[in-house]
Amino acid sequence: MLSTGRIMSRECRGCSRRELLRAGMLSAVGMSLADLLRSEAAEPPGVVGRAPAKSVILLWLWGGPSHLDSFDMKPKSPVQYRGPYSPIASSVPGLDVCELLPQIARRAHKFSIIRSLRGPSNDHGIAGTIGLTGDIAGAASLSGQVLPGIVKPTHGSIVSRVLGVSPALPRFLALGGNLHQGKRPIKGEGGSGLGAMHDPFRLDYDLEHGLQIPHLKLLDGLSPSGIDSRERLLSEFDQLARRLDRSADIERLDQFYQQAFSLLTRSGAREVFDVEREREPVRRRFGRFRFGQCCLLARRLVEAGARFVQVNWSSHVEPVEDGGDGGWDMHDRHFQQFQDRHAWMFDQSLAALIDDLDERGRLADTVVVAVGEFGRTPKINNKSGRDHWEHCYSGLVAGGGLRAGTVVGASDRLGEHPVTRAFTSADLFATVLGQLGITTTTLTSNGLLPQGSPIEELL
Amino acid sequence: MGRWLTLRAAASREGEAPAEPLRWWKHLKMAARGGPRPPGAAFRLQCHRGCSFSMVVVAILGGFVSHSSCADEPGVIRLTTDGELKQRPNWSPDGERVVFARHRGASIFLFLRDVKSGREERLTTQTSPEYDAVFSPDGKELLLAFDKLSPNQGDIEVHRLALSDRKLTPVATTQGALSHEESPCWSPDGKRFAFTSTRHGNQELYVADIQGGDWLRLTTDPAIDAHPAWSPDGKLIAFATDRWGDLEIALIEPDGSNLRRLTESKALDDYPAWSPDGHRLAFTSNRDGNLEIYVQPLDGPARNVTRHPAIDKFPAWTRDGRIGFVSNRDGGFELYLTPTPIGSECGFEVAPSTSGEASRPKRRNEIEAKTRPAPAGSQGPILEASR
Repeated sequence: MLSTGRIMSRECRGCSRRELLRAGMLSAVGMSLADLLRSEAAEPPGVVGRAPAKSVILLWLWGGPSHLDSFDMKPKSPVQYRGPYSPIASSVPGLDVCELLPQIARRAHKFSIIRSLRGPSNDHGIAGTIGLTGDIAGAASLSGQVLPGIVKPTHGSIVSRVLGVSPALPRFLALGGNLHQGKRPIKGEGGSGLGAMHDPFRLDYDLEHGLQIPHLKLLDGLSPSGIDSRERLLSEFDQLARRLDRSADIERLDQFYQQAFSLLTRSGAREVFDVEREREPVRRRFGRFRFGQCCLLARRLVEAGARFVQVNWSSHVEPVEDGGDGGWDMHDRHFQQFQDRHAWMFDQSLAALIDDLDERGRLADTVVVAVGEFGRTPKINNKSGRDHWEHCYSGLVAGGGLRAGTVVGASDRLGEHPVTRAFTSADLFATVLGQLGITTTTLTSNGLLPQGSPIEELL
Repeated sequence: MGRWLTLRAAASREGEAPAEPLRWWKHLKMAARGGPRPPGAAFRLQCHRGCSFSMVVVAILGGFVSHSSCADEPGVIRLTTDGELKQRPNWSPDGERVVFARHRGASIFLFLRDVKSGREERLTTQTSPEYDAVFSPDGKELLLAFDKLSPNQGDIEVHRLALSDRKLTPVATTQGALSHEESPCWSPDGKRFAFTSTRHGNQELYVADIQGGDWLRLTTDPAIDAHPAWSPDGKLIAFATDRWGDLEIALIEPDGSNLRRLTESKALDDYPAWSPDGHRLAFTSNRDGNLEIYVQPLDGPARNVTRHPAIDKFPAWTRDGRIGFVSNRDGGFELYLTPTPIGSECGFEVAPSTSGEASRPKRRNEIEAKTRPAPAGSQGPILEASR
């Protein structure tokens, strides 16, 4: 099933500017010509030398998973802290994980845990921007306050910029909708100053609607076989845009969307997006739910040449109980939700992803990262939940030549603060991008400011 | 993980002629049983409840690697097929309806299902998340939990719903503060109910009269107490608690006295449910490393009654002693029901034909199955399935 969305047009002979923006071109039209020219003026130097990894799959656990109930359990802490779950032994002595993650536990020799991540903010919006860009600049808080500075490009956009745009498949794809805190979208999901062409090519998948391509939400009821006519429609859009803006920006935009249409009109490319081509046992292995199938789609994409695939656990931080779409922000009913939904979904999908990549010989050159924007309060609150905790949290990395079967960093007896060197999300992604061959030198030669330092213990 | 060989095998009870095979086939972990056997070879199989079967290999269908570590339960009846996540089924006293929570997109709503026809309807028309519905002893009402959305995030209330007119009446709420009142269960006389509440700053157990008054707090421990279940004789309430380290099943009397521990495993034990005779409790446990349904008498050891590599949880008894539960053994999380009362000799019995058989959803082994001619040497068709 392939659905490509809809558009609401007021005029049959053309499109209004608002509709044009609705068609997904807002960010591109809004960027300055200077930005565009700067980003495109020179061929990116790319990567020099042989990099251990080719691709990255980022499992973005939006809302902030509890480190105490996953990878940094404190069974000897008071009952008000430790929670109801016990640690279980994993395939690596000393690397215990939560009993609700048994499949992940059996694969501990294939991944490493960082237990001393730390950030400066417990606001989803700000911490999310930091997590995705490595920098606080331009972040927007829940109250709407926008911090000084220009938002930095997200990690996937940097990969897209440095490795160059591919005519066959976008370098950077995001599976899931735009990230929100409440009704407020967060900053830092795209290319920012690198330009819209380094924004993620966005897809989504759910069991009810199949594959969704929000970028191409243009016309109701359009089937894949109708893509060619939509290409003509795009041409009309572009002509309109040129009339409206008289700007060369649109020329570049045209290329971006042509790429999208190219993907969808070539049968081989369409097949990449179609998880339903996978055998049923494989689909079951990943889990018959949105996140599981998105992990499977991510594997298909990196196998087809994508270099950075971000799988958003949810679009909203809030769980269903709080009006969201199942995020990790469980201030109340924390344990009930974790036990009944989040834990087993995460366990099944991550284990399947690691196994599947490994069996296909792709774990060695694909970095898998599973992390959220922060952790949760070690002390259980008065609603049987855990609140935001930025002072200490955990992340998981696997594959891509990174050291496996190890624990980096440690927290104190209650899981409140690191007792070893603390790492930031910028350090984490400096490590990850380094495996792609994107180093400080590469970044600076692309006009990008390096963020963080690689975590030596993982190398 | 082990190497598995897919066999089609005719099975009959030990000592009986294999001419009348039971109609099922199995995946057998041959490496643990002496290696592959050619078609025609006979061997014995002992099921996890101790019954022996004579097996005759009919065909070797292929080999594959599987995480499975035990056999299917051919008698388990699958009730739903939509694949969406379901939680906490509860059967009506007459066994004809089951109520459960279903996740669909960004919603959790309660559904009422007619077991025979398979017809479903939403229980309410509310837009807020709803879950944890339980039938009253007379089957005419339900208690359920509502989670009120913004601006009251984190405010959960127990409501009482009359099936006759679907009228909702709040019976457990906290005014002036956000708190959770949830996981309701009826007393057997229908006059009181037990539930959990965080109104005093920690999740504790309470009972109240069915109108919502006369609250009595049963527990006062800083641990989390959850999922109460009132015994059929009215004398005990079982619940889950982590006061001893991990989640265990405990018992307490409805006046808050005589709290004692029932389970003692180094694992999670949760979601207790009383058998109709009040002598046993079913609950979810991962004591063998995987979430399964266990049944434990009040004075004996627990027994794993599902034994499946998939996740099995949320047990709920029917009045005739069968256990309904939720499992992802077919991919999505579906409702299942054991075909016979738990406690019968062998779980491998194929469900006997009943008046409801014609409309009964297909069992796991019947999914995508087709009837093939019986192989030489046996009588009747054998089901072949693919997975």
